[in-house]
Amino acid sequence: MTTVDPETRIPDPIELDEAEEARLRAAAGLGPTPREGGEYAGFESVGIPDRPPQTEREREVYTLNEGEMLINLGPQHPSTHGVMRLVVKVRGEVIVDIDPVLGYLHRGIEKLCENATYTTVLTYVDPMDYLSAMHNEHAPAIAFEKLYGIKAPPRAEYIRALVVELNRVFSHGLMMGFLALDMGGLTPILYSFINRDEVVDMLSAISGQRMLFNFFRIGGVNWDTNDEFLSRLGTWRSHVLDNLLMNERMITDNEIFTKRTKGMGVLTGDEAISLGVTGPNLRASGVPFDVRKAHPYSIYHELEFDVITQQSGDSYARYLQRIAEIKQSIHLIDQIIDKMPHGPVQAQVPGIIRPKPGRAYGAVESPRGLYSVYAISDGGPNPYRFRMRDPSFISLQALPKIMPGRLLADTMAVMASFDPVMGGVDK
Amino acid sequence: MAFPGAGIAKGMAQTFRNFFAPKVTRQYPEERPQMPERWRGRLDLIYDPFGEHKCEVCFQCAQVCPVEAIDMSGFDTQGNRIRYGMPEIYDERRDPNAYRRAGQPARPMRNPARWDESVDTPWVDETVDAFGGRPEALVAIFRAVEERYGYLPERALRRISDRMTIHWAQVFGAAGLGGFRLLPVAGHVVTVCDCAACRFAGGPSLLDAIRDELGIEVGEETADGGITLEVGSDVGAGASSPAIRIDTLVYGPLDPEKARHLVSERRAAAARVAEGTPA
Amino acid sequence: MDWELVLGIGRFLLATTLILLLTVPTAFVIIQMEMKIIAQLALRIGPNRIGPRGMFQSTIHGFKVLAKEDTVPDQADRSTFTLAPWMVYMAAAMSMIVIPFAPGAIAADFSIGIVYFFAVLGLSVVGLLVAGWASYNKYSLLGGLRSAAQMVSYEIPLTLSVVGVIVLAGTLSFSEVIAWQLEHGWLLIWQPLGVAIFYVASLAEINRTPFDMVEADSELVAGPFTEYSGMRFGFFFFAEYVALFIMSGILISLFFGGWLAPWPFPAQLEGFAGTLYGIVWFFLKTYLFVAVAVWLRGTLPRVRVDQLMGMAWKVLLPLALVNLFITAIAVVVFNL
Repeated sequence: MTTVDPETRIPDPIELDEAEEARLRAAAGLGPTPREGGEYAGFESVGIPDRPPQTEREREVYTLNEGEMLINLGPQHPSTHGVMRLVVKVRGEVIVDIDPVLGYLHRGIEKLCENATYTTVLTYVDPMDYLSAMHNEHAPAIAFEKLYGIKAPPRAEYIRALVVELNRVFSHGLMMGFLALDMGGLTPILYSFINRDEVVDMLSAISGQRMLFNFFRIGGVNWDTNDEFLSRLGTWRSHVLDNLLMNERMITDNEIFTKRTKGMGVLTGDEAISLGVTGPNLRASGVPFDVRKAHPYSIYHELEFDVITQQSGDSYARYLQRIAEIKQSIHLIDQIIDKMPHGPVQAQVPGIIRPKPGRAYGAVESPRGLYSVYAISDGGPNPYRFRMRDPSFISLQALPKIMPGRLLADTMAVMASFDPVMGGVDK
Repeated sequence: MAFPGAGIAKGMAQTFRNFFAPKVTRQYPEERPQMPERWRGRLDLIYDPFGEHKCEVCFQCAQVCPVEAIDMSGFDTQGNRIRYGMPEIYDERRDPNAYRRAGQPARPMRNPARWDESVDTPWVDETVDAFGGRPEALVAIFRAVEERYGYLPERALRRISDRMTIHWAQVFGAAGLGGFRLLPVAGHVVTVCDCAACRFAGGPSLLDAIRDELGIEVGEETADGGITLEVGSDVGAGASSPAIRIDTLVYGPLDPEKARHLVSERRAAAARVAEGTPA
Repeated sequence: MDWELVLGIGRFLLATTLILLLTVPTAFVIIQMEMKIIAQLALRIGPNRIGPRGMFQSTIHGFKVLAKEDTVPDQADRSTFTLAPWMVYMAAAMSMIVIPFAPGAIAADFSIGIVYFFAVLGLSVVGLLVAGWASYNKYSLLGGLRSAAQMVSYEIPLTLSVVGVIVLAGTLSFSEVIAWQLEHGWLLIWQPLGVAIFYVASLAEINRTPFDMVEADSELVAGPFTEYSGMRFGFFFFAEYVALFIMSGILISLFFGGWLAPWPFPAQLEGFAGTLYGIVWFFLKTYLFVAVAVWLRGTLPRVRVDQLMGMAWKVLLPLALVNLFITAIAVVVFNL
């Protein structure tokens, strides 16, 4: 039996921390840490910052009026999307304000890229918006090619467009599943994953990986298509519309689903533009802005497609918009396969490129919106600044605008209809 | 026709149909997915034909890793241990080189004689074919070769790798880890089992009796080179402890007298063979 | 010595023991059904490793629940915290004694069986409220309040839809309702609206999808069960599935002929053979409806809480009253 001699025991680090903190607080004249409480001890621990509010918005959110309560929809979520914390101020069941607290998945990718060569940057950006990894690579590839002054050969551009549209198909398909899952429907997500599994197997045949593809290079793509990829593509194409229909039948006309999404989370076109929301969320509010048409990149000017919009701007419209976009992407894939030219798939580029000093901007239409990269080069092998603008981050800012007045139970449904991916939000 | 509940009915009809449709689950350990040829997800260290890792421990990967996920250790040209990682783990890490596992020092001498050893290639081919060339039968094939040669000659392993179209690195790895002898031994080998069961059942007393009988210590050979004594924990005797293994035959359960008797018989037989009279 | 009394008490004790013993295997079987059926709907296989075709998976789940650590929140009220699962489970078990399994196989064939049943089932609301309060957790509290509100409001359409049956059959006892159905045909055809209301209200009453806002992975974690672990949670879990079985059993007894076979030749036998025949048909029909409830769970998303309450008060209650009205008029006019 071991006993601890109180004279010689090693002090407990937590005790040391607390003593230190008490000393510092006393020195700053702040009073004891407001941690232990009386009867209602557990009830204030929403993680309200223990300092005076630093911005107007913070003061607005964390000031409680009569009958209001702060609830934490914590970083450990049963409903997907990643680690995000929503501090919700409710009065009973009605939401008064929402404060998303982000940064739980921050990995410092922008800073890491400043120490990496341009080619390595393309491997770092994959896990940002991990459900649309090809788009994450496409934008920096465009920006770096502009910086370096080269163009990818036409076949590479077609392959890029092909994999990008495939990525869009499965990402939107997953959104359908997530939306149903957040409302309690257990099966549509599995149908979405059946589709995704096929597409991802296809993309692994061409790029070697299933999720973080690392397929794009500066000046083209890594590998050409091979037989396995094409045969899987053919098989998939023959039954993708049936799969989609199977999934749609579960959700689109379901009365429970429509009653929970129609009229919920209405975002008007003006509000969306002023917030900077882009992509399917914006188009579902009636604004016909698609980066592929507005600022054409890659080979989209050679393909024939329309900009689809919905008029109502509610969650149901966002859902319908994504289904329409899946069908449009499949149409685009058909055209791409028809028109693909022969040729090399990568331009001649040295191992470490050193572009001339300058700045470049590359924007793509990712499944979540306008995904763009702003790169500054100082002539060295590493970018001087590598900034990514992620659409999910902006979409989340729409939540505090549209949720107040709604019920707490709608939060998840509306958020799922915006389809944020926390990897992109936090980079 | 739209009646209230039509949407729900449509969904329910879809799930009802799916209830009877073929399922898409792949039962994993039994059905493995076909990974494409460009698949980059294998986490293997590869061996070269000399049995060494192709990894040169140049630390480039560890230095460039953005999340510092790679640690490693190895030897530099002076024979000092160098590492990129925590000392408490990487200083103690043994070089998992297959020859080292066989008892050779960390940087094996390339004995030219071994590369010239000849092996009965048609016989090896026959053995492999007798098992149908199935990868699961690799260990059985190894046993057959070891029984014939007393160890696994390198040429035989190469032939097995070619014949079964299994990557050389995997064959070599399996041989090294499977408890097979990779180097020839002189004469017969008496292995006294050192596993927990045999130890509790009286293995040490067997060892003492055999040592006494042969007059040598563990790891040595008898003067005439007929018998080598060693201990190992992979005799694989199962429930017949305490056991010994002479060459490839396992004997057990034994008591010291019987062990002594077996070893002396084997020694006598070896002596007769050496003389030329039939064993 | 009143031997009949002693025999009666003995029989009652035996029957109730059997019923209590029946609850756990029933829960296991239903959980297993649920896992497999929902999986098959989603084009998966479901558990298939434990036991032949995965049959013992839920039994292992039961043992796992027993083996888990039993945590009680520090500032929770320990005695009420322990009491809550017991209350819910006992409500379910007590209501099982009036379920008509077979002619002569009812544990307690009260003449006021229907009233007793609905009265006792309502006690589970108390259990949930106590669970929410005693957990010392504001999310559990909110969840418990929501659940209580949901269950209390759905009891009204539930019982009102049964009043039509009572009026037609003229009796409050389950076995006599079934006897009436033997003569006049299943009450399904006499009370179509009543069946629909009863089915929807019963799903809401036992917190099954699409009405399981209370407990499923909503934003409030697990509602009143958040702080429960191990066997305490196991009790809630079992009680839920047993309640599903009970509700299905009552549904078929009241509307689908109970232990009667679907064909009239013969619909019911005598004596011991009759008991067996009745039990077979009872269980077949009950598990059919349990399977339908599981099918609904796999297919439908959840109804939002306020829409749920709206549906109870604004749709089901008026419909139930209309049904009662029509039934009453029909009985008077056609002298039924």
